[in-house]
Amino acid sequence: MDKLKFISSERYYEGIIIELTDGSVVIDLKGRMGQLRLPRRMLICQNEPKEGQQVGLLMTYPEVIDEEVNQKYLKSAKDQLKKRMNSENII
Amino acid sequence: MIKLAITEEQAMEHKDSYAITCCRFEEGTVIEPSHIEDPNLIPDLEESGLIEIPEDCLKIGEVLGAILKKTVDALTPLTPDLVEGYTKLEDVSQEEIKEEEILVDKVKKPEKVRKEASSIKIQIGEGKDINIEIPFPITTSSADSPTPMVEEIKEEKDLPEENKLKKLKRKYFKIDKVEFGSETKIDGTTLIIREDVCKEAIGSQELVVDMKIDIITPDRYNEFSNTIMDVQPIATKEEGELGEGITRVLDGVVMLVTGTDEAGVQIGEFGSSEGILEENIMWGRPGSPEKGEILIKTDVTIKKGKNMERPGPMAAHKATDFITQEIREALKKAEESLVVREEEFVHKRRPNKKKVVIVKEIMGQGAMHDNYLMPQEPVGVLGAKANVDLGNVPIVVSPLHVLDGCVHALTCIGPASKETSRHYFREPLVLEAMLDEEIDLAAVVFVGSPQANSEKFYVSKLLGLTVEAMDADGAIVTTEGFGNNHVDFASHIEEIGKRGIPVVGMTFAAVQGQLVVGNKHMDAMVELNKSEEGIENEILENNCLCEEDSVRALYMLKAKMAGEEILSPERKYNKDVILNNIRLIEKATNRQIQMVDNETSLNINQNKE
Repeated sequence: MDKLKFISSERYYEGIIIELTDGSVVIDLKGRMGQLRLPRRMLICQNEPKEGQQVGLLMTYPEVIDEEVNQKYLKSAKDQLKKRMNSENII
Repeated sequence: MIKLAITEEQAMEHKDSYAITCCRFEEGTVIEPSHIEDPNLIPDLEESGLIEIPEDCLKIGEVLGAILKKTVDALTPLTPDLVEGYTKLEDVSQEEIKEEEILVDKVKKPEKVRKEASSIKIQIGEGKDINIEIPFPITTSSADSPTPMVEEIKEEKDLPEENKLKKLKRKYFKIDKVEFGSETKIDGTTLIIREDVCKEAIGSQELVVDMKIDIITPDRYNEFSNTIMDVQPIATKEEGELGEGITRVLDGVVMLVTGTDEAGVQIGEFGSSEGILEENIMWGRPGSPEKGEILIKTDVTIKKGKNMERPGPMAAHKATDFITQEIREALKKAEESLVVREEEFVHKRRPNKKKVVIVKEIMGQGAMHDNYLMPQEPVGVLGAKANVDLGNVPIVVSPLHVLDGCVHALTCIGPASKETSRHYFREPLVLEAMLDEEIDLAAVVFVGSPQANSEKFYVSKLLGLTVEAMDADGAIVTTEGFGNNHVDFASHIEEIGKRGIPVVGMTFAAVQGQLVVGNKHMDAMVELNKSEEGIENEILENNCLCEEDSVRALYMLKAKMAGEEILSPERKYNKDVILNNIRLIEKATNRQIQMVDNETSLNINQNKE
């Protein structure tokens, strides 16, 4: 955490749950700000969540903390992304 | 900046905290709690430079009812020159803040008085097994009795020192070679697995389209593997039901469940934690393989798009268990002469000691956030029910059930902090608490963590009632991973704590998993983090509960049960607090506690493709 230069710069965001599975949730951030794909465990909700419900969260900007490239992670994550896109399930 | 005044109740609770005004107040104002800033915010205000607390700053307890001599702005520390008629409190020393305070081995005041037919027995809570017996008549006439009271140190008569409840014996069968053959059997120290067992395992599950078994010997630890979904011991019952009798265990070999869907997407996986085994496993943790063990790795392929639906991960586990079950059957038939060592676990009840309950919160949000409970065979699937299907309600088992594999964990995300099936089979807290002669370990309660808060509070309430009905003197609540499970984790602690039962919490929090909620009963917490950065670093079992954490939790609980004050935590994760506490326990108990390595001991090369 000490690597961050812009610490505690969180802002309020809202989003919509656009996909739910038994283990995961996809949130579309309002304002065409992208998507979050998270395990269900990371979502706090009063009742069983539903697609279309709105969520709010504080989020800050990701900062590059290391100029080094993690080739290994990059390769496997890209690979997974491609496979996910090929599968019928966006999650 | 949010400014919060406090209530009277808070004022009493924080009477020793610094008195800072929350708004602007005029000269002549009589100071009330509503004029004081919430003491919990003071450190943040101090850190951000908004306030600076002078040495002579008065405490909340000192200024209440006093009169302001001057008009003050918001966030003004109240000092003697600003306040008239304050009452000086006894000097409250500002103690050094620590995660926890360690029990000092001393005899506390008698806490429990039990009236028996002919005598009154006073039990002294901690440490030295001293019981005082006073002849009954004295208690009615002690005031004018010429006979001085005699304190007799003797063994308790009516309550037995120890009750042996149940025993569990493990017989280990050494395996140093695993190969394929025409029949699954154990031949000396070789495990032979039937070549075509996979075909039947695939056929047993509709969602499984393919499956391979790979036998990973130590020289192949540097190979690629899909995400590890679980590490499981291979064990079977020889005699008795789960949790008692005799269990046969294969030594030197474990099952590793891995898998993807047809498109190659990792089952139940976020991020990217597939990779080189050697670099992705924190070896030697209770829930991990040991270095040198042979890993029987199943690589299950399930139908496309089913990786995140509940039946997907379940099918992968069931297909793997089809194979494990065949090995179990062979292990049942193995010759007795092949037993290399035995281990016996005895669940003793100690009626003279404080009754302690271990509560283990397990994931129950769905899909891979689930566990099969109480199977027929250790860590099996047959006969078990998923805690999600059981409504995540508290399930009470004996410590021996835990050590006999009553949990088959659908381990997935948060690999560094998620407890595998093997973790429960070697649960360090259960082992440590069972052996601890200063406490009476009554039971282990598993409680699932549902998705919705309404359900979380529902199961939490039931947990409170369960622990209350047990008449427990103390409880330790553990959880795995982090996320919304911390909501119910906090609620469990509250439900137990508000019933007057001392409670200690154990979780991974550190930097990334910081608790999202808290309450006043969460004053004794044990940090499970081992990672250098305090984060979920995707290394299997890295941040899971180990022996060193169990010792800290038990000593913290004993201190709390003895009525000792637990010091407030530091504001940020600091691993020195943990080290310091370990040293204090070592000093007090004369016991050397081995601290485990973290990921820095692994040789990780980021650039190797």
